[in-house]
Amino acid sequence: MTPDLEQRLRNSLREITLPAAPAELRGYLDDLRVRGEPEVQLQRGRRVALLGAAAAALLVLAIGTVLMTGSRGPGVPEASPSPLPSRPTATTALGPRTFVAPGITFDYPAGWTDQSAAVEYPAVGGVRFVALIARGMTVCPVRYDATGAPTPQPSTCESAADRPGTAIVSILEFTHPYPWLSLPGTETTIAGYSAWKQNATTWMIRSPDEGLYIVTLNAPSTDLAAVGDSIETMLGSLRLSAWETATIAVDGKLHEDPGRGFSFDYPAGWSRWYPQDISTMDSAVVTVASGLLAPCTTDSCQNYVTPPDTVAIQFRIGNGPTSPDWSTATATIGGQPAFKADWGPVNAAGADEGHTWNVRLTDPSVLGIYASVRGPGLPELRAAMNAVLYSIRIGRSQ
Amino acid sequence: MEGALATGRDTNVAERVLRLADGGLDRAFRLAGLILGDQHEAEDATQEALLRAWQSAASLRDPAGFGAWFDRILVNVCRDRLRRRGKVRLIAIEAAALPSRDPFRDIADRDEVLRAMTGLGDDERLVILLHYWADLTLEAVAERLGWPVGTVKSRLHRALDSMRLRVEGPTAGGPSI
Repeated sequence: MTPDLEQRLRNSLREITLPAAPAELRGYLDDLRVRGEPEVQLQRGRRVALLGAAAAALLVLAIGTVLMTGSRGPGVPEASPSPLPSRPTATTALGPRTFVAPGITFDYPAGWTDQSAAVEYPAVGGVRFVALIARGMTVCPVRYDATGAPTPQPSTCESAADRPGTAIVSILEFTHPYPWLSLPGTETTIAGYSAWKQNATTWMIRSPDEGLYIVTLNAPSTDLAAVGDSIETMLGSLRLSAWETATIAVDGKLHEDPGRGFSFDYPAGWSRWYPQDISTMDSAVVTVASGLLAPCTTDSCQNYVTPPDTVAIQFRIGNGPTSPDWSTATATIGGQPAFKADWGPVNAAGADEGHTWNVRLTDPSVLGIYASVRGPGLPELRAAMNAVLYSIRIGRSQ
Repeated sequence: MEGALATGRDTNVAERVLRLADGGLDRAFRLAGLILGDQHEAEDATQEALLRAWQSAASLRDPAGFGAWFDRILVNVCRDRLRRRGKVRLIAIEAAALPSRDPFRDIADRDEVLRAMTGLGDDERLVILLHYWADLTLEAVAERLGWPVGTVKSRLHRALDSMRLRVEGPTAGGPSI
């Protein structure tokens, strides 16, 4: 960095006007002084409660900027397989009912109805909407990637389970997360599967194919304990199995279109993950590698360890700055200007060399491509990396 | 005093810790906010750090070292949160669609330098904030992060390179993929 820019950084940081500590924090200090060890009263619940009033009061897992921007699919090649399974089906018999979708089956009690059709979820790599069941209410239609004017809602539908007796349960799945993904909450077992209970309204269950099902409950606070118990009973009936969307290899290559404005091809024998890794301004979209990656073992290693004789490529999307001046770009990826940076050995991640490309996606979004290569066999691995890069296509469809 | 410190529940020691924390509360909250980019989460993190400090008052051997000691607790709390957030982030979908009114989240809108900084990875941003915002030496940054100074230097170098690329554009390199 030039001294000028370093000074600009100092000045910019110095000029930020930041709020003072809120009164609640001083009150907490006083509590510590007066009463000794108080219960921790974190504020997160309050924030969610304040923000959860609109459309669907479902707390669902959002993945980075997809849901923040409402962005939707890029150039989906005509030969691309559907990224999502077909709509789940449910039986309509009286009494306990069975919900069935690829990889998941469970029984839900009488009085609840399968209203999954009310939800239109974007086709995004790594996340699939599985189910929405509700009790005592008709859930208003929800489109998570809607960009147009909202469709008038039927007067009889409700967006949140606010009334006593109403409740909504939504289920999403993270598909192909890193197998070493650590999860928040209390570790437990649900129906024999490893699971984590984050709080009174959120459960995560790991399926046999390493997918993660996220179950979220929305109910009036007065009903929460009782409904939570019945949901845990319902989850006891879960049957999970490995499932996979149909993929067709063409000339030994698979096409990957994560629904984020870019797509690429990679060798059919490679591995693929959707990392669910979000930082302040960017999020990991997909990682492919010529072998199995290993989890980090040190703080200095941020994503994964690249094993010997392996090339790994991670694609991230961030809301980049209005600069750099793309007209000065030194590379082209998928027809878009790009800047390249080469790194030397990345010891903590095990790589012999690293390469980064920042590619203009859709201003101001930037596609970051992070490749790490570890020999032996560096020339072949670089060639494989370049083949993936040459296959990248950028653009939106529809 | 050593015996009293060892209990960790000694009223005088805990009171001293809280008094010291009170004096630096604004700075702690702001640092947490800059690291986490979220006002409410900064409040949670600062509160959690205060509790941890109170609980582990016995480990503060020298009151003169309170700043570094508490910074380290706070930074660890924030890093834990970033790590958890980096893995799985649960947010209300409506929250994602609302315009931001969070002063910590909005700093990226101020200028291209801050925008480039907020685009860094968590560890790089931590180093930048501790060195340039908190005005700490690299050695002091290393102490707070529990890293070797060499690691701090390499992270700083990498962070600055990345920011330079975003702010100034490339300075060298021929056409390539």
